[in-house]
Amino acid sequence: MPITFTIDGRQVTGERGETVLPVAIRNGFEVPYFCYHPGLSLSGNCRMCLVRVTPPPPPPPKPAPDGSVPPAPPPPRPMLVIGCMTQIADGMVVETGTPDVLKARQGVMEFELINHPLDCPTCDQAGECYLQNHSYDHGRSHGRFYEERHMKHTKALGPNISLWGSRCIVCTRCVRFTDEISGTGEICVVNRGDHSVVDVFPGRPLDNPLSMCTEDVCPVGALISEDFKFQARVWFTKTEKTLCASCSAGCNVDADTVREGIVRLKPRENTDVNDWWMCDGGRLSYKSQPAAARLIQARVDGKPATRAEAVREAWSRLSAAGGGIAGLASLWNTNEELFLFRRLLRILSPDADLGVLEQAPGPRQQFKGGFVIQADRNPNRGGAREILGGSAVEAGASAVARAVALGKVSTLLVINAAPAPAPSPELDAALEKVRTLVMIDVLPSPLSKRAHILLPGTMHWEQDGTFVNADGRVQRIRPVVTAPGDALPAMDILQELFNQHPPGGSGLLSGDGVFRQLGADVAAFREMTYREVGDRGIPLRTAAAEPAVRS
Amino acid sequence: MPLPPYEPVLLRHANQPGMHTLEAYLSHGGYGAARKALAMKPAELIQLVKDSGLRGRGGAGFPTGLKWSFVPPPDRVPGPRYLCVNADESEPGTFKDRYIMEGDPHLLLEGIVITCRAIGANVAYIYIRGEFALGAKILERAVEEAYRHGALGQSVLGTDFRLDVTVHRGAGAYICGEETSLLTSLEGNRGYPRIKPPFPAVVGAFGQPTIINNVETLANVPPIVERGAAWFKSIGPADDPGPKIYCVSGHVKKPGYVEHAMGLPLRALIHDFAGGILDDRPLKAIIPGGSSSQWLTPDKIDTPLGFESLKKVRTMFGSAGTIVMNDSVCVVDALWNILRFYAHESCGQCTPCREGSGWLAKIFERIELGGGREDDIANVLDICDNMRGKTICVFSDATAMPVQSVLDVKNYPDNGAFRAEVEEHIRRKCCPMGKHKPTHVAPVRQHGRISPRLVV
Repeated sequence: MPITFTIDGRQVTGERGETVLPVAIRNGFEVPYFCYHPGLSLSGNCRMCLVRVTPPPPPPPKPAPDGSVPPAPPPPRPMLVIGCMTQIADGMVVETGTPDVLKARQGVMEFELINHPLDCPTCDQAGECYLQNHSYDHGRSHGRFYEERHMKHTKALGPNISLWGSRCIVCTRCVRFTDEISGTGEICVVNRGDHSVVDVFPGRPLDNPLSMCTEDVCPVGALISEDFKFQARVWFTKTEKTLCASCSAGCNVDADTVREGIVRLKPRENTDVNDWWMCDGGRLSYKSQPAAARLIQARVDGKPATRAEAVREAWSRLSAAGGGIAGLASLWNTNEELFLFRRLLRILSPDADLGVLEQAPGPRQQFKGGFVIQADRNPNRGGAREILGGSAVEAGASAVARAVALGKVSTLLVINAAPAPAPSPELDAALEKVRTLVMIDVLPSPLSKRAHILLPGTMHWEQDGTFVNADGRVQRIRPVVTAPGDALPAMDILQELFNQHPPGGSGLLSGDGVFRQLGADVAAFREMTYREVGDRGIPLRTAAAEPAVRS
Repeated sequence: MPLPPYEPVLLRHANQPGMHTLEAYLSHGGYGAARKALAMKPAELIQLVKDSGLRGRGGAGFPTGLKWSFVPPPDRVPGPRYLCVNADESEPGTFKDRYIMEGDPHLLLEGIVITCRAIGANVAYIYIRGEFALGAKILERAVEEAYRHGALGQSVLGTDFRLDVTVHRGAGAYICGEETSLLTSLEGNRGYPRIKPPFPAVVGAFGQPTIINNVETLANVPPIVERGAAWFKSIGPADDPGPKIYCVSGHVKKPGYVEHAMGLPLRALIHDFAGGILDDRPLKAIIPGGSSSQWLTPDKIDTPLGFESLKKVRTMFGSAGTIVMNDSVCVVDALWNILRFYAHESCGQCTPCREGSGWLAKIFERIELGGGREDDIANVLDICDNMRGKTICVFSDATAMPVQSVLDVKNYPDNGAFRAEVEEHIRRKCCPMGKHKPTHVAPVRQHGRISPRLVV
């Protein structure tokens, strides 16, 4: 049964067992905090979320057996308590803006800052710092601290995280993260009193695969990502919501860009997928494809060509192939690309062999807090299974390689969005027999070197589309930066190929347009739209389930 | 007024040589109370201690029997119950538990047996302060003897009651005398206090119901069982009865400890037992209950020492560690000393206490070294206000209380003399008593930023 109580005179409801702070945040009340984090246990040490709480009045006394009514208990007195730890109760009265609350907040804010170095101009957290925000809203306009600040150590905690101790406010979020989520427990608090600061044990660096999440949970600039250090001021960055493609978990991320370059990825809260976390490998994955190495020039038979020429040439060779055609996609392609790829090949040859290229699996890692790095390092196996069929995905490239080896295939279409998979020896040998290899690829690889017609494609952060993660959840990726040179999303190249088809394609549809066509064709995506997928994704339609929203 | 005659109860035998052995303890009828208690029902024991009016001797003065009755029944919270003995006696000026543990350890163990019987605990931990190496050694030996004698173990004194006692040495943190941080430390974590509720009686050590009692409290239990609640109530004032060990230190001729009934007047403690003020100089200030309690001026010397009587003069009995200061003491210097201790011992968990304790210490250092500012007193009182009642445990209050008692003449109108001395420090920019040379050098302010102090 929900619990009803009032915050600042407005009635709000919450579930039994909830505390005041989450309910207040959910209802739009501004209660500042440092140490509270919805994904971590409660600690209650920052004392910033102090609110004035009047407990519910006790029930009126029951009349005694002799009929006399005992005196009513005194009404409860209001108290200053921390919102994050105070359980809600029916009839409770919470006030967030009384003078004593404001004074307590101002006091806490002053205490936080007396030994803080105030080095905002050189601090990477500036612009997204809780201290800055709360100081602006709740702090004093002048200092009363005439003493010396004491400095604490600045050092590298691990390969990816460095500590600026003087900025630390000992909220213990990072300590709780390594205790509860990564389960590795590297970080601890050392020293006492105002010399308290977080640190690692000697010889035990912070090097777990989730270590960089400590930088996300740090509300101030104490833990700094070595990767982002001194790279950009956050107010100059542009943020786009997308996905990490490093494994099939499909972690939701925010990609921050400056001048068309990604400067960092940060996990985006999605309690259905990755909670608030992501792994270091995924976070640094934006660096794995250097722009200098990218394929940016369309080529026909090794000679540079315009994209239009290459597309025309590709169509004429593909349509001339007759029955001897096969196709390879990759498990990094979006659902839209896989759908167009399948449709194109079915038009060219109804019984063409379809196969997929994939990345080799890595170790599956599960952490104490439930976060999983999937063994499957391909972001869209789930989508490929629905669109190309389970058997095509299971077979990988082997069925196509066999068909090529038998000489049944003269023309091969390869669309690959993955970073340079090595072809299997079987496929490598078979490729000798292919007369025409039409390829959409992003990075030079043994395969792309053999391509007769090469069309530069895009990485997943340069295009629109959807992936299906290991749990069967359809999620959106978005173009974060523009593709270099001639590169174009495979989805658009495939549509341009369609447009060469004598009856003509349907023009150049947006991702949503293609996705709607996919929804009309494949049952698992029945009637889905980008709007419905939204920022948080939706599960694939099962046979029984009706679509949640009918368009 | 002559004191009524008093026969010691807690330290009855503690000063006799060899009393720490089981043999000597048994020769005085040792473990007789435990035998009696084991024949009683737990509820009867709790009622007996409730009737006696025994209040916790650790500082807060909470009624012991009432505390025991907070342990939920097994059908509501199943699993083991624990007794934790708070032997982390770390309040400056307090050294009463130490003499019980070193002089008469079996009295404590007998109190543990009875208490465990009352609350249904089969495991007791004695959390002893790390610095008490001798006490820990004696206790460990006593526990070993008690096991051999059958007073502990699978069958306590031949009954079916099972009890294991472990002596756990702390690592020397003041805060671990706070009951919840004692539990965190006992569990092997950094000694951070926990938020109450839930109270330890419901969720305590290892998540199970736990009673935490002071050593002296438990030492009071065997005599109560032996001689009854009425006898106990007849000692000292009716609302605050029982025997009590008082500690007195500072500027007295014979610092030490003495056992007497509750409600011993300060004058008797200082002049009769401690031999008067050192060097026969005038008295300047009294800290009645350990360094965290509010200071008293000399005119309060006739106040009886007790939880209720000291509350009336706006201070607290705390751990009964009376510190006496004669007129050779500089108020600022003494406060700085106390604050240095608290700044060093703050666990650093809650912001107001972590930063406030260090800040206060720095301000008093500056005033003492001749760098006082006109706004210092107002600022200090505001800092104290921001510290009090805003943290998880009461350490923050303990830090602020002595400061407030010295400076806050609105709430402590009798303490104007203390404040006047601080004001004089600030006005004359030096210590008028010459305790420290005025060596303060203000940090150089440049463009609003404070650069490190220039060393001269």
